[in-house]
Amino acid sequence: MKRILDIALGIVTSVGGFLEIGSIATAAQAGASFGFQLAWAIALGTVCIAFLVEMGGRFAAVSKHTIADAMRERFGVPFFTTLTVVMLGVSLLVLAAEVGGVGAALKMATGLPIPVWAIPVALVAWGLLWYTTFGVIENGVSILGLVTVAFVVGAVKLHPNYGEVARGFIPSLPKEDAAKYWFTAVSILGASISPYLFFFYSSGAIEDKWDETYLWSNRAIATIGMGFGGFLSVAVLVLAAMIFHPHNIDVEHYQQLPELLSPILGRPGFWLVVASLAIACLGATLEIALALAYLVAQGLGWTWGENVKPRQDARFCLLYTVLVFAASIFSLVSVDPLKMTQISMSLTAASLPIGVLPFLVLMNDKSYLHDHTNRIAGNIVVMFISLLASVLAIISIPLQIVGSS
Amino acid sequence: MKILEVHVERLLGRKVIDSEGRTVGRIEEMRAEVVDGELAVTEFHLGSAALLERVGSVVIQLPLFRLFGSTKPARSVPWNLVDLSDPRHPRLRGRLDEIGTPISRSDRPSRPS
Amino acid sequence: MNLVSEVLDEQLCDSKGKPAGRVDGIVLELRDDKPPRVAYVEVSPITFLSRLSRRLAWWYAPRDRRFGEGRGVPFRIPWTRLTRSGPSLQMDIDSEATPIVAVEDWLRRHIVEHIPGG
Repeated sequence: MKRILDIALGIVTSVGGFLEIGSIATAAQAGASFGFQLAWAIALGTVCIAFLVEMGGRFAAVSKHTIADAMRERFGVPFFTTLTVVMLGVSLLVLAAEVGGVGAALKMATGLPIPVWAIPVALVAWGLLWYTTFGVIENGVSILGLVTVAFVVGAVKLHPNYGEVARGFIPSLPKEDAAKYWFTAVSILGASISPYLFFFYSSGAIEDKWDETYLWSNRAIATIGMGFGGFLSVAVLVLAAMIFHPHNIDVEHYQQLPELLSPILGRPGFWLVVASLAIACLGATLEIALALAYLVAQGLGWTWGENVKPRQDARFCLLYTVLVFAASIFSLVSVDPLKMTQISMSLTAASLPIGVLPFLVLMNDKSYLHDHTNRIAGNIVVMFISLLASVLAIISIPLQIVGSS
Repeated sequence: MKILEVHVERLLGRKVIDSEGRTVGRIEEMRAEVVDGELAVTEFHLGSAALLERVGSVVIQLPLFRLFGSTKPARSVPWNLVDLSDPRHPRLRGRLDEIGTPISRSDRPSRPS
Repeated sequence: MNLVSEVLDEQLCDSKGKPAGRVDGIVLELRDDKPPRVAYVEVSPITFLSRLSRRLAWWYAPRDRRFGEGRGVPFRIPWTRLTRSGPSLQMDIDSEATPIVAVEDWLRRHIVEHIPGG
């Protein structure tokens, strides 16, 4: 019975925590510019992250090591340092986009410009991490994140042609604006497949002392949790496709996001979008800052964990502090959150192989996983999708830069 | 008597050359056993791939990577045949064809947990 | 045992079970007619950095001294003081009595303690 509750909580927090500015913005932009045509990108990204999260959980449960532990132990210092530097760099940009997302929501709610909110948001995020236990806030914020289900309610109320939506899941070539199409596809992949997610998930599995009896729970949480999360992204895409696309409106400003629900739900729709954005992005801010701090702490052998008090582990706590405030600088100097999102998502896609391929090596290492190494399907799916994402990113990023200048 | 110290992590990946200048392999692993009450290095495992020396064996086991893996087996060399007086240039005492025992890839150490 | 896969980069903990860093380096003592002795394990950012670049380690070492007594040179733990304890290597010393905690202490004294609450 307890196990069922654990699974339920795991799924709920995965679903509630799935959407953040990356998935919301990229799905909205895709729907607005290309209708249902890019639904396949969301599906591909969701499948990949579901596999990766399941692998992360399985790795932790069987080997009793987090992914970061194993990256250092198996590959040594030079590799671990390269991986950490790349992940810190790219994830810091994602973190900046999330802080910007909370700022954007607050601007829409109050009218005060984003730079005004940069430090307060950083302070709130920092305060939650410094003064409370992670479990409570993580779960709390993720459960609040269920407000994003409003997008599904909205999408259903619009009565989309489900046949047409289904066709969007079949990969197709763009009829026009090819550079933008592929760049948007890449951004969606980068938004769905975030390396910090499976690093974080494996840390949680160790903290919760998972063992081999958790393998089925792990599979359930990964597939159902990520699956439903992807479903939320598709809902955003459908909304944008039905509201913006027919009028040839592209999503270029975050102020357009409330229009996803206000036509259908009226004024409450506006507040639902604002709340969804604020909560989802705050949750992502906390999670990314922690994931990065865990990566460094585990790799260097420091104390780490949910209930670590600043007095007990100054290095760990000061590290996430620096990350949160560094991320807020972008908003402080008025970098547009949507631009920040596009850049950080596409860079995430481009750098995927650096985190994913070594992780696959670990997932096939019998000395860690004994009988539970990957089956060939998992290896192929993940390798294919991440290499695809990276190749597409490397091609489309320069094209997009050239195209928009 | 001066005590010469070498660091394991600095030896890792270094090429071992034999008396005729041929490459025997790169130091991938060092096996240690208790000898006369002390833990001491008894064998050096030399592998072939340069960049992949710590990734190597597992990468080769991955289905797709079999295409890229080298087919040269790892060799196990007893400690007395390796001259570490210049740690940057480890030398084999003797010739390549005089030594050893290739070790099979399935002989991988098990990770303590 | 295999030094590279089972000792190098392994998690260390102290006599109280508290995490104490990772094995950054292993020192072997070469002897004429005997196999190289596994003498010490090194735990230090200096050793860590030397695996990236000797020059970087050389640059950092004097700055490490600033954190207190015993810093500025890699801290060595004799092999005989280590035993395996689950997934970690345990040393029979309290980390508080070593330079390992110097950075942690410095940050706590100079920054964390000045922040209210917690």
